[in-house]
Amino acid sequence: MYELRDIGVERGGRPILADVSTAIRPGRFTVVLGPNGAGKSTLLKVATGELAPDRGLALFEGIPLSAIPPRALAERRAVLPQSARLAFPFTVFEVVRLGLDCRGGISPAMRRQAPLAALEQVDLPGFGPRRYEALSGGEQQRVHLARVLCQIGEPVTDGTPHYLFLDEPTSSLDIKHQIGTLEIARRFAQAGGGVLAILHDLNLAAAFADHLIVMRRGRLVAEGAPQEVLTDALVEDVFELPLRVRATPAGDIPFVLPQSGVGQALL
Amino acid sequence: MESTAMSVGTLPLGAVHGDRSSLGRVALLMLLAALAVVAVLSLGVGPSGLSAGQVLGILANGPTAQGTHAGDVLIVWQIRLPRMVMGALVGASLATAGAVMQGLFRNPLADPGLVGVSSGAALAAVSTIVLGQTVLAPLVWFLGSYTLPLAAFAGGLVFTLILHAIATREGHTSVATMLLAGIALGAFAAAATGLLVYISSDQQLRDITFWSLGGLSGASWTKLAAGGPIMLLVLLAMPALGRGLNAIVLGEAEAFHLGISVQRLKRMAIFLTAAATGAAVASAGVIGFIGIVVPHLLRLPMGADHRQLLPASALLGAVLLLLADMLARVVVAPAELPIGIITAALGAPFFLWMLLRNRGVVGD
Repeated sequence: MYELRDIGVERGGRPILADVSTAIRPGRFTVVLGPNGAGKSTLLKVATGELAPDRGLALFEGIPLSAIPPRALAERRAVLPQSARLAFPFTVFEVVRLGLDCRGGISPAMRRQAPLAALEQVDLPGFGPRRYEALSGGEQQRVHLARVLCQIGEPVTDGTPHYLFLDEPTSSLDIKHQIGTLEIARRFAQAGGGVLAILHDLNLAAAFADHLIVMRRGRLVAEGAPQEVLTDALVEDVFELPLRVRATPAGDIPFVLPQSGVGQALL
Repeated sequence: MESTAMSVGTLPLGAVHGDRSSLGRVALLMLLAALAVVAVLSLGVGPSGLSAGQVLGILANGPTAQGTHAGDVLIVWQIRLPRMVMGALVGASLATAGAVMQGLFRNPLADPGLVGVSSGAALAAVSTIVLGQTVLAPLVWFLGSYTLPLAAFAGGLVFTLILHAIATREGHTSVATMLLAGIALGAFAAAATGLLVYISSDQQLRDITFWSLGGLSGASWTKLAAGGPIMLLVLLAMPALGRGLNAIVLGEAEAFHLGISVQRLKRMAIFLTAAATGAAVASAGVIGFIGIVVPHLLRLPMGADHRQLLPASALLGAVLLLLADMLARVVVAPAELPIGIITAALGAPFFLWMLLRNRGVVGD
């Protein structure tokens, strides 16, 4: 479990995060919501150990993140970046295989098979020999998802849960692959792993998350199950737009039609 | 890359899956064979030409063999062999240092020669030549024949550290700043070297000219004993950087996510680059373009997996420098050209041609 206690981060005297306390638990699909500049990516950076907070404690299994070597962290969690430009020409296969390099005990057969299996999983079969830079943005995003899946392996090994951190994993994807990607993340959480994803689509967040974290101006303003958190009042307060929240007829999944806000967002 | 996949049709793994590691292994074996051939040839080329068979015979009989060809034995064992080993080590060091620096800065244009590291090493080397009997006399007394290689190493290291400090802010290294700072540092080193040239004696001036143009003509077992072990150790240590440099291709944050200790990788890469460049400059002066042409040439067919790119760069760097040295000995025989003139005259147009042909590969 990841624990964040009273996290504060400043940049040039300006607070980016202030008094943020939350936990990332195994078996749970946690989604972070919030407007641009709310501190979502910074929160993810603190949780992955990439950024040491100026204030507060960031703990993984009770140990401060800063005290855990990068290699040990990488064996327990993988991080999907928003986008990554490669400095040199790699094939898709080679990019995906980078995910295996931090893991010990990989057999040569697995080094060939695991990347191919991961590419199948993200609906990019046969893309191995293609040049990464020649792919579309959405395809590149899925290549990195395959790399991250290679790195993390099973959601749980020997009773030890693994974690996925996804920074806007659906930002470049078509609707089929948005849902496919979130299905992969949900299965990972249902199998006992932990997932933290940053999303902008309130409907996808409501449909897939077990747990929502809503942020605004560097602070955590609401946390809980989607049904409890997504209300007219909260959405209007956080996103500064009077959107109407409804529930699907079949279940109790909340949804928001952007149409209810058309003409109201004056920039 | 499509053409790469096509050309390795006989290697099903590479063609089908995009895994070029078997292609890389074949390339390494071919380069190793090429180095063996070129090494033997370079022992035969010169005013008293020897066939490959004669060379191998002389090598097999050892340095103390008696007989009718005592002169040839002396030439091969005491003049050409140390020169060949020195040339191979210098070429390998320069090419590998280039590949490591390009990986670290995530830019195919980074090169110890272009960003002023070689100039820093040369400045330190020239300083020990000109000031060795006066200001730096205690240093020379203390370090003996190791003064020059160690000074060149220190010069390269100091310039690399300054460069890195200038180009890095909040953990992010700006490549544009680095290249521009490198040009400024190179100009500063040139000015300081110019000042030393101005106050130098005739004999010192001759030595300095050697440093600025580069050459293997001064190679001997004694000189090899000073710079050789540094280059050999660095070459053996460099492949350990391969995994980290692969991860850093994605970016520094991504490399950390993949389990790489980025700061430690940077420190090791900078130290090894400075050591390789410093030792190479100390042994053979400033030789340009090997560090930038060799890794680029290799990335086109075999890809950028540093675990194979680094040893392949070492091998091809050695091959190319030995070829350049043979050319330098033959072109104006019985005299010889400084090797730096050859590598620059051939390397610069070749590099421009590669840039024009592969604009997309180099990036922005």
